[in-house]
Amino acid sequence: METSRLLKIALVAYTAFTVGFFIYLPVAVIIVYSFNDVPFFIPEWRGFTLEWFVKAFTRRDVVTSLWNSLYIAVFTTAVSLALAIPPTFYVVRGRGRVKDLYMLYLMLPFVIPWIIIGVSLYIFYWYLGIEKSLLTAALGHIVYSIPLIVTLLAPRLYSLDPDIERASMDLGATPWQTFRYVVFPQVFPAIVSAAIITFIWSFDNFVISYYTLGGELTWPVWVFSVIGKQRNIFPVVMAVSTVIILVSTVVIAYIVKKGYVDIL
Amino acid sequence: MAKSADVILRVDRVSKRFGETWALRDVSLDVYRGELLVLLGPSGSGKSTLLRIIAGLETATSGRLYMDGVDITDLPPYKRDTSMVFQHLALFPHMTVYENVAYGLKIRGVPKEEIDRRVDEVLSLVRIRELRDRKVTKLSGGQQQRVAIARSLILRPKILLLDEPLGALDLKLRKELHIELKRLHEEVGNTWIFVTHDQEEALTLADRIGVMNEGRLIQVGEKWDVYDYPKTRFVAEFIGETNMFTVSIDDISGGVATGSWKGFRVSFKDGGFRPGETIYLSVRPENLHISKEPPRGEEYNVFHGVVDVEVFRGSYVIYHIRLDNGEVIRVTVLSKDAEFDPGDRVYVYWRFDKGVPLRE
Repeated sequence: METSRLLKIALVAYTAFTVGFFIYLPVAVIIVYSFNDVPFFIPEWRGFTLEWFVKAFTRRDVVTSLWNSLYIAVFTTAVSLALAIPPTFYVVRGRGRVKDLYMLYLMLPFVIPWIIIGVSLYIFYWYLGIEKSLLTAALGHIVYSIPLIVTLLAPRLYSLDPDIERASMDLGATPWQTFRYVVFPQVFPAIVSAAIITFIWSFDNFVISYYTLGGELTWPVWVFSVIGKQRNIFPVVMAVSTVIILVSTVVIAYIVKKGYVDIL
Repeated sequence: MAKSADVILRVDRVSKRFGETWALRDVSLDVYRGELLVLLGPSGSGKSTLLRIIAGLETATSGRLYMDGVDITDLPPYKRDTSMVFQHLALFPHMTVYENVAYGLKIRGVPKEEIDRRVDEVLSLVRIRELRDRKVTKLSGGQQQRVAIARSLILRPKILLLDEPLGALDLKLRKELHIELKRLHEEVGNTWIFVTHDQEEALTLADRIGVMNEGRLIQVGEKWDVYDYPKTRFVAEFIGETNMFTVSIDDISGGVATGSWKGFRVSFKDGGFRPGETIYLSVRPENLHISKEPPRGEEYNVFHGVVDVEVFRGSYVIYHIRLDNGEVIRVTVLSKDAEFDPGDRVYVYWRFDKGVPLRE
């Protein structure tokens, strides 16, 4: 009894330490040193400044890349949700071979490595003569987001009691009203979770974007294109990262507090 | 008790097939206005399927349904004047009691003041008015039960359908709710069809009982009739307890058939039988009597045996009697008359007309 308790504590502590050491610590370093008054990264405090923030958000390429990332992430999230929600119902409620094959068909992109999605789309666009742009990159993201959303929503749909929908129709609601008033409100938290995860994934993605973007860059691709190539760019990247981290923390905290989400 | 020929729902030769199996085979049934009809059968007998077909939640493979003479077979559930209380209640978990109960009226676009008035009315009827603004997920099983019934009753459906709604509750609460449901049915006065596999529940609640087995409706009738005059062995054994004797008939005279059962002579009312025929004779334990002396009179079947086991059930006692031919039969006796002990040699007897002969 006592040993198993100790073991539990040890395991939890070990995970906490790993996450803390390898994720929170580097992130904390970035946040702290984005205020450091040195035009490059050194592990030494030389005084407080907001210079890098001013510099970052007055640079046209930085601001544009952030807007581009935002645009792609919003577009990807909205379109993927619209495309993924109806088939998720079919996958969960349907029966038979056709459904099984359809599910496989839908889920396969999930196991294809990003680089292969990226490179094959690169060749595909070139072959068809499609000019690459933010839109072509977003399409690449959508390919992967659909199975992602199906994976996130399906468990919630499985847990719905189909009799609840039958009850709604028995009480006089049409199938559409039943979806609107009974199904959707129950699934909504899962949809919010799926939307957040898809948004973050798309905003972050480098590999697919790298091969499917045209001249306009997203934030991760921009970072890749400048780091190590431009002098004194490191503090600018750190400053933007700090803003991204703080904004997403506040947004997620708000959504979780409102109780819109399934996770946590 | 039968509300004469006022048929509110006619089920006309309805069958339902799921893949290779027939859930319902050629079921015909008239439901009378204002009655409480209980469909009773073991699980898989098709009773819930029949209820769902009446609600419009399943479609019949063949056959028609008529409500007040109008063919409703092809109407979707939301256009039928029926309402269902589901087995697992199927309350809307994201809503309060008020929102659940108001749902059907809101969908119909009833003005808010009227909804409020009717919600209060129906919540008072099922005695949970004080729970109006609670989340349904925070209620006890019995309270959720009442919400589910209120949610259906508020629509004043012509027929209320209840699919084993008490299945998840403990025995004591079920017994309380049985009485409550009887009262509610009297007060509301509409037609109820109640599905259950519990024969005691069926006998408590029903005006009439329909017994189902393997997709067939075997017998429908007043509960007393179904209990006293079962049509088949299945009905006799499913409702209440019974002793079943397999009798080969060898003599019929003066309206009385006589045959033998494992060495004992048994007589019963002739039901158009022929000598040589084998029938099943059902005798309820409460129609059997025990005494230490043989009974006087010609109108009895008399067996002889030894008291084997005595089961005390409070107000009555069940004696298991091992007869001289080795078979064990059960006899119930009111506790105040239970003066026998295991090992006592006794006579067991019943009047000829208390045995029900069955062909199948």
